[in-house]
Amino acid sequence: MKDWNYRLAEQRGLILAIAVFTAMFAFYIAKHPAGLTANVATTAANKGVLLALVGMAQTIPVVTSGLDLSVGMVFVLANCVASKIMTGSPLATAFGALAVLAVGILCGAINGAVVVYGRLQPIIATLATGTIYYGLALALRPAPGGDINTDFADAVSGSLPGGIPASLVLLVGVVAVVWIPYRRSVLGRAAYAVGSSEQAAYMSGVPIATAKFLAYVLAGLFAAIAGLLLTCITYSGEASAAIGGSYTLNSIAAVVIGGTSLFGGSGGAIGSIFGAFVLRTIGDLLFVFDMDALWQPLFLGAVLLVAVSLGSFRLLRIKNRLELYR
Amino acid sequence: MAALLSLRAIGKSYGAVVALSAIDLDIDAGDVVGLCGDNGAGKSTLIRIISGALPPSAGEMRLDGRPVAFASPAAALESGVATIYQDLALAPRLAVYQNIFMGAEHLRRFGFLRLLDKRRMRAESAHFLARLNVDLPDVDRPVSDLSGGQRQAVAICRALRWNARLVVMDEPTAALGVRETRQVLDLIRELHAQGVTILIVSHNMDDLVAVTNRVVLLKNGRKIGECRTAAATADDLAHMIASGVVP
Repeated sequence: MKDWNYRLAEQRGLILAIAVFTAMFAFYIAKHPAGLTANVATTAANKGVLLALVGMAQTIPVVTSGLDLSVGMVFVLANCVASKIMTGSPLATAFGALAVLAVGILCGAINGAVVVYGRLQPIIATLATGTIYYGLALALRPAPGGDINTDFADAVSGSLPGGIPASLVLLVGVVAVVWIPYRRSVLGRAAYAVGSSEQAAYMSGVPIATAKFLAYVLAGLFAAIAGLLLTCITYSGEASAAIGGSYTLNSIAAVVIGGTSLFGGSGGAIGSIFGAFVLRTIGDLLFVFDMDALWQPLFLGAVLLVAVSLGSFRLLRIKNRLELYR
Repeated sequence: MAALLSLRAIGKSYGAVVALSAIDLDIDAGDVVGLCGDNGAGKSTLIRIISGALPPSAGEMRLDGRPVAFASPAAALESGVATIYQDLALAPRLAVYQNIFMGAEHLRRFGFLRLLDKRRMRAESAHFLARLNVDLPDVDRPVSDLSGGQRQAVAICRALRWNARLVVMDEPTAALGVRETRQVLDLIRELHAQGVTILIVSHNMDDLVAVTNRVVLLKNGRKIGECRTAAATADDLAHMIASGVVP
């Protein structure tokens, strides 16, 4: 029995995010004039999954007690690349998709190399590389436009028979194929060890450099998958600094709401997915209540503050206050 | 028979600053040896060299008679030399079993993947703790919840996990209360009873007299002598360190 208490405690943030999302989403559907149709579900899923993927991207560097400020820009760059090369025959489109993912991995690898081997602070390093990635996106697509294989785009952004949103299936697939094996691998555990105490990890022979490097590479990959999905939803590419910036900041918010500590060493991508869903549902709720969209930032900010405060509840439980300053 | 660990003329200097010079030290298998000296005597430098965290600038280190040069703590661990540091040994937000297996996780095959074998690691962690007579029923607890003595127990379990032949302990009883200190000393005796060789660095002469067979004394980066602890008291050791003379 006791075992489960601690295992549950570890998941508290995740459970809370799921509960809040479920409540909000149920409320949203109850209030929605059309109810839960395939169309409503797909629209909501597409928006949610975009941010969920970028949030997953952010999670892994955060677990290593780093931060990746370039995820939003990798997302935008992947969008622009996809809108250039994912046209023509199905085969060409498939290779284009692989190339987009490769671009994300490459961006992540550059981030990882700069952070691990260049020994720069992750915040400033990824701020710089993110700006470079944005510059590349802008050079690639100075004005919004482009095209994508419509069949592919519709398949990814539409709904499956039975009304299940395809993007949700994509998200579950990414979790099952990439996140869960990673979480249960030596390098996944190493990321948590590094985030909890880098010195202890080093002394124990944990492969610190590889773990950190891989964290940024996976961040790049997840951000590129999100960029791919965005292209499938909008059928075009746009090098927008506003989109990149807001996705970067919202990804951090999603990570925090999902119960991952910014100090590193705890949490996980599943929490961030639900954190992202919570953030997106706030906007939807305002819509069904006929409130002005201008209120959205205010509510998002309030929810974020509450989430951060919940994380700080450990202040009240802690035995030794000095521990807080470690 | 060659000593388990033998150091010959080990030295370490940082530019013009000499932290250690000409240290000779032999530790036989199954021995419990103390290392003491004042602040700045070179104790920490010496154990960092032994643990692979710091390369020596002079001298030779032999393990089982074979020359070794550890490139990292990981390399030392693989050769059977585990070092337990007082404060930076554990990752506080990870669970007990995750700490014990940090850097040396058990894996199981899952198709073409190799995933963590959590069940086996939990079971073995409980087994290690039982071997040390430590009452810590819950291996899923985060280490930040544990007392100082329990943390030392977890750190020592890591040495067991590595099958370490030589365990180096840096100030194992510093910052512990009386009861916890006694627990840690019991742990050290238990470890010794199981045939593990131990090198303890400590400021606390009473503790060294209580658990070690002999003590090596350092002063200003040099070894000033050795002393059997069966015949010495804590006061004797303190006097030797202060005067720099070993009878």
